[in-house]
Amino acid sequence: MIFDGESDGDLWSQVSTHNGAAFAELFERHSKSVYNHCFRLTGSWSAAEDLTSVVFLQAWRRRDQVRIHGDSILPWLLAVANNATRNSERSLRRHRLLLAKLPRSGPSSEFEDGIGDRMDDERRMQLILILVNRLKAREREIIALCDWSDLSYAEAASALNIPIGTVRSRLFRAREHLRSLLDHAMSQNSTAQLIVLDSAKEAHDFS
Amino acid sequence: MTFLDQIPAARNMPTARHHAARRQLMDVVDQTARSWWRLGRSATLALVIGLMVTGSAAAGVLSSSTPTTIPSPSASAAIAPPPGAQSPSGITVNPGQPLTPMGAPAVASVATTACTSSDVIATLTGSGLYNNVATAQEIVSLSATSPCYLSGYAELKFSSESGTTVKTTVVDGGYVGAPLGISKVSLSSTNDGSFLFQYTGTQNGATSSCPLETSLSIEIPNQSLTVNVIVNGVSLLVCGTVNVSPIIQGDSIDRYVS
Repeated sequence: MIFDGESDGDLWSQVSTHNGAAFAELFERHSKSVYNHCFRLTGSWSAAEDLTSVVFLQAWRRRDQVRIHGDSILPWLLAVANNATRNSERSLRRHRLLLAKLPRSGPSSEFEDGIGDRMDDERRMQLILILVNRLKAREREIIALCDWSDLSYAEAASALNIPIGTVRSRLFRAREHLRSLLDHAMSQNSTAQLIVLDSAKEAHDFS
Repeated sequence: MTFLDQIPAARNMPTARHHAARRQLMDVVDQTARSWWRLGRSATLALVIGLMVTGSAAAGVLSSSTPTTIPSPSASAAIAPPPGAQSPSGITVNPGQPLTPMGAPAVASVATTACTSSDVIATLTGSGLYNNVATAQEIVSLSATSPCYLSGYAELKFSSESGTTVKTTVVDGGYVGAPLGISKVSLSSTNDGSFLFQYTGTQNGATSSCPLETSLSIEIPNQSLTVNVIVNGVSLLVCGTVNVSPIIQGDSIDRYVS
């Protein structure tokens, strides 16, 4: 079935009537964004894979309850991802065995996707999260949505169900808070410096 | 270079995992569509029967021993209720509802009819590992096409892909989590029940000699009820002892957490 030119809203209307092909198309459109968003929140590609499945399973289960606003369903999916990640132990506990029974990718596909690079990603992201996790949950989420997943203010407002003005002010405060944490960490020769040193070393290794 | 510039670049999900995730979603979608079809058909029949009984009672011709005749499907559309129709008269609601256990969903009234095999829809839904040790838990969700109740423990029968029954020992109770008592659990298309079963050794290779099981049926011995469980494409590796909880109201895993 071809869905070229159909908006997410059109597809979601069809999903509401149990159209699996429309849901598959939405998965193809947005799974990468959800996957990367989950990775940035967890620092683990493996957890991000599982959480991506959790997000879309929840989307399917709530297809009758959700009406999307605007042209894209991505903001709502990322909001679901925020919640799933926040409750990741609970979410994954319910799905882990089911997900574990999925065929795992074989060695060829792992190499194809660069397992070494992924391990480097995880190491770096986990260092970053040491600092970012000191933010309040709502601050982390607004940074993840706007700065890391590039949602517009309007999309973030839709995802979080808050006014655009609140998005702006919350993002401003979150960035300020992060900056102060970063300054403090740098002054104490801690995580932030590790990250900078790490990237400097990497640049040196590849030069 | 700023702090946020250190965020790793976006990547695609590994191809095999992407396909597997999509395939799993489509399995769930397909399964849901079949369940909806069954529920829709059964709900229509239940509605028709309910309206016929109500109409007969109003006419004063209802006899409790009179068998109910199911009308042809073409007749059902003609007697669908108008939008906003009220519940049929004759249904009473007990104002003093008994308290439900903590976390249990409220049920308007306890069903008075025991479920039969044709009433119950059983679906393997939740699953997980207890404290990351090699003890797996599965939740079987239960609903019914018309209001009825179940009570007690389910007996489980696992079958391999070839249809061979896998020998297991089912132990009532003894599972990890909150202690739960036996009670009548009301089921309908909107009221769920569930039970949890638990077995050991799926994650560490200890069950490598277990055959892969692709189907599961449950039996409630004291109600002469046998139902095939919709397993959503999940295969199980169960052999040896299986601990089961009693059937309880609701199907959230939180109901089982102590």
